[in-house]
Amino acid sequence: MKIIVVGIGKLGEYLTRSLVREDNEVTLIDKDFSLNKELINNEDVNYVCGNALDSSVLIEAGVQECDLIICVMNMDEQNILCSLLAKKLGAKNTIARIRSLEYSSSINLLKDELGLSMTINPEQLTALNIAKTLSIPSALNTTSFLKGKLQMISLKIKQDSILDGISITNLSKKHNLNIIVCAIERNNKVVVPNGHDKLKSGDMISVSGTIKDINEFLTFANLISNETKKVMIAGGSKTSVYLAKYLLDMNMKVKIIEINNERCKELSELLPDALIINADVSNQDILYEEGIEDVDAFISLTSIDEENIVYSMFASIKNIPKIITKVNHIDLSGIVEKANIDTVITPHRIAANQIVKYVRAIKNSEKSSCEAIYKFNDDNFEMQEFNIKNDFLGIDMKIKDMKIKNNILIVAIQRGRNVIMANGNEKIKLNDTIVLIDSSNSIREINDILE
Amino acid sequence: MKNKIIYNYIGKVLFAFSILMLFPMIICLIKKESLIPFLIPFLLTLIIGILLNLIKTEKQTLYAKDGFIIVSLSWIIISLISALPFSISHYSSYIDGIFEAVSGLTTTGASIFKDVTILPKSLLFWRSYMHFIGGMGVLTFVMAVIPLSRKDKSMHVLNAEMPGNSVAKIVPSTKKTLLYLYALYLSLSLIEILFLMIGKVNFFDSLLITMSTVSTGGLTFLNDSIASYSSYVKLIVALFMFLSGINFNIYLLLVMKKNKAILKSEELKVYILLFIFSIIFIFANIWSLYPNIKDALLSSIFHVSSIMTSTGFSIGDINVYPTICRVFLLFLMLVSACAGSTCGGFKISRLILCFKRIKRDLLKIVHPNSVQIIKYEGKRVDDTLIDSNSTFLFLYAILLIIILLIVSIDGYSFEITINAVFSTFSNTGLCFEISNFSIFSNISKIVMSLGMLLGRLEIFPLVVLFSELKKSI
Repeated sequence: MKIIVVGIGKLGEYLTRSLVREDNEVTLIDKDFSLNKELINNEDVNYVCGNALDSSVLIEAGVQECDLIICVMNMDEQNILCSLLAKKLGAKNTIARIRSLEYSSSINLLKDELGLSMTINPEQLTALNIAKTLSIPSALNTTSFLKGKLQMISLKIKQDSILDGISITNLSKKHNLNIIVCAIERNNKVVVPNGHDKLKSGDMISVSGTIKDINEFLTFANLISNETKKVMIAGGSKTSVYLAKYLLDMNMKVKIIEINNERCKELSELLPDALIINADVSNQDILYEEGIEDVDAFISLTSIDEENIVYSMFASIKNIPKIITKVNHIDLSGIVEKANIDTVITPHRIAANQIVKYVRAIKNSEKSSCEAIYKFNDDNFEMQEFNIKNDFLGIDMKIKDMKIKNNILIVAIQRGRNVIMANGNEKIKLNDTIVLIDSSNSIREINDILE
Repeated sequence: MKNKIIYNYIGKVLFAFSILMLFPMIICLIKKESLIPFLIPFLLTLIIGILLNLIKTEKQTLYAKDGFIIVSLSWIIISLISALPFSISHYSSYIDGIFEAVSGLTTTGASIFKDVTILPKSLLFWRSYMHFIGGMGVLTFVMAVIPLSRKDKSMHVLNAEMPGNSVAKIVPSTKKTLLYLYALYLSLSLIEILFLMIGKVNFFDSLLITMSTVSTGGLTFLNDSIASYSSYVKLIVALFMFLSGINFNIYLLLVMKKNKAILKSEELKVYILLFIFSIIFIFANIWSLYPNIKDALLSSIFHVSSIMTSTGFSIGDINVYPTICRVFLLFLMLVSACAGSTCGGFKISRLILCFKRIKRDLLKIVHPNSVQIIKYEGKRVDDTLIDSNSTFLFLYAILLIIILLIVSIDGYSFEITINAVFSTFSNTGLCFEISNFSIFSNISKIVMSLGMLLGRLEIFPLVVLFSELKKSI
């Protein structure tokens, strides 16, 4: 597919890499490429240097034949204008990043007039992601599939945990838990496990199941922790506002610490129910005064990665049950995840995955389409959701009879309203939605799962 | 040199090159000549290629430095291998073979053979065939044909091999761009073969002439180059030399009907204007020496087109040219034609940028506080590119002088020495007064071979390679 990416910031760069990896023909537009030399030299892309609001620049980049244009420049107005212009020039689909709080609510009214196929708001997506994670605090990460019916959580097995040494078949047979272990990360290697594998302490496992089953599993593993009540947020960014709104809706108590006085006033106006504190987060006295030792969750959302990491390290010394760190820089996030400070959230990755999912969907619009996608472990693993249409070659076959590739595991099947955890005897039928995990990164359409 | 992926990559290149060596073997079979001169290098390349391919690495990233090293090492190894058919068949010594092979691959066209007519057909084919391969570049061939992993399609490699300041891709996918370029290259060749056959040249001869023309090489199978053919053939060859000197992207834009972008190309305009001016200039200086004006015009058109595109064909009468024409042609040799074509020299685009820089810097002297950005083909040019452009031209001059000094040890006349060095360094291969390079000593031949490689790869890759070698010793 021919895709134009406008604005090569961090999101643009990560997005480009993901799209090229999926064999799309990507052309980049930016005013200045001096910061992105590596990207142009190492990835199979073309680039045009210039202002994307200039129609001649768009034409040079091939907007007339492109299937999709993604505008991720700094300013919302630029993105809207650029996608509008591109649409007029003949782009088939347009995606614009719109992050301002004020626009994002009104943009839905204008979406059709502007010809936007999709708007993306990384801050909001990040906030939603954090809010979900807080709903199951013992998990490092929580993702949902099948419109929230299926959940996947990742967690670390602690030393004296009951899960230490248990084999995966025993989980379901002996303990009657209807969950599927999707991946085990041990010594920096991730594998899709089979029934004989045993869990060990120190493993990072990803488990999926319906909400009820996940709760049963967590009770069994003695991992149900107290409900999150008090949350402290460092930094009053846009993400913080979205997050605070979600959390306040979930009846949590929210404290936001922000250094800029003016911003604090704005925040107070936007979030009357939250407590806004005008202080420097690096000032420990203030943190003690505001009761950092009593909070259930601490979330670092300032705009500087390094500060976020340091604040989270401080919070982890204070034994706060749940710590979430926002790290913008993709390269940095890998290191931080290994440094053991609980959950790390990367907004660009979340936003890019959303777009990649959309791209896959328009690519296969006539076929069984990919409905959701979630990447983890440095993008080496992918969970995907597929809607089964007639073109799938394994319709009405039992899963164990299908010749499924080694590194793929079918996790769950949704038929009508029911979610069935997959086992070998289950059949896949027309109009089912299936969730699968893939460690080969080669699944672009449903039939790719078969040998 | 530590990055193991370099060796793996070179392995792939050699593997592809061994496949390319199958074609001369087919010619051997058709012409019923001995297979041995090609079979041995073929097997050698194949085995080394496969062995190097076995080196596997976890790390897949290529850095700019690695791109330079891959390109220069591949070219050196391939040159050494391509020399083998000449020495195995005992038509030349190995050193002479290297000169001939480098001259072939770099599309220079300088030969050490006093009499080429005694060579077997397969070797004659091999000489033109090397032009054809080297014209577009061996690594671009590898990237276009062999399925590579995503990371292997590094622009670093492409930038190091393709002539010109930077590579412009017409479509985002590197592989597609290269396939388009090859398709263009092949169709240009086919059209020329067709035209030559209309001029009653037999298929084998027109194939050889074509391969030497579109690659702007210049090796032929006759001692007097193109001189013995009819004026129709001469004009056709001149036309196709001119066409091969145009940036291939222009043709692609033409096919894609992006005429606006073509009109923007300053390089094309300068190329055409310089071409016409040169013809008029040469013609004005030589017409009185010829009995009829038609011959004088044909001679000036043919030689301007041959020298400006760094091809190096001649129609024999170049030695009657007065000094002013010879000096002017030497200048054309060094400048050569457009970037992104198969030509040698330092390319018109660099000359344009250089003049623009001079203009800006002079303005700066008059108005010390003035600010002026340099625009090229309608786009703002980065200052780093301007700087590296100047560095390139400076290095070009220095290396030219060094090679000149070494070759002058042989003690030939001033004109022959200067001409031979300019003509090899700019990949032209045409030399006044002498028709072949067999008179030079072995040292001069090796130095000139190095000069041809430097000229073809545009200096930087080899300089990087040698500085890396120095570090690892």
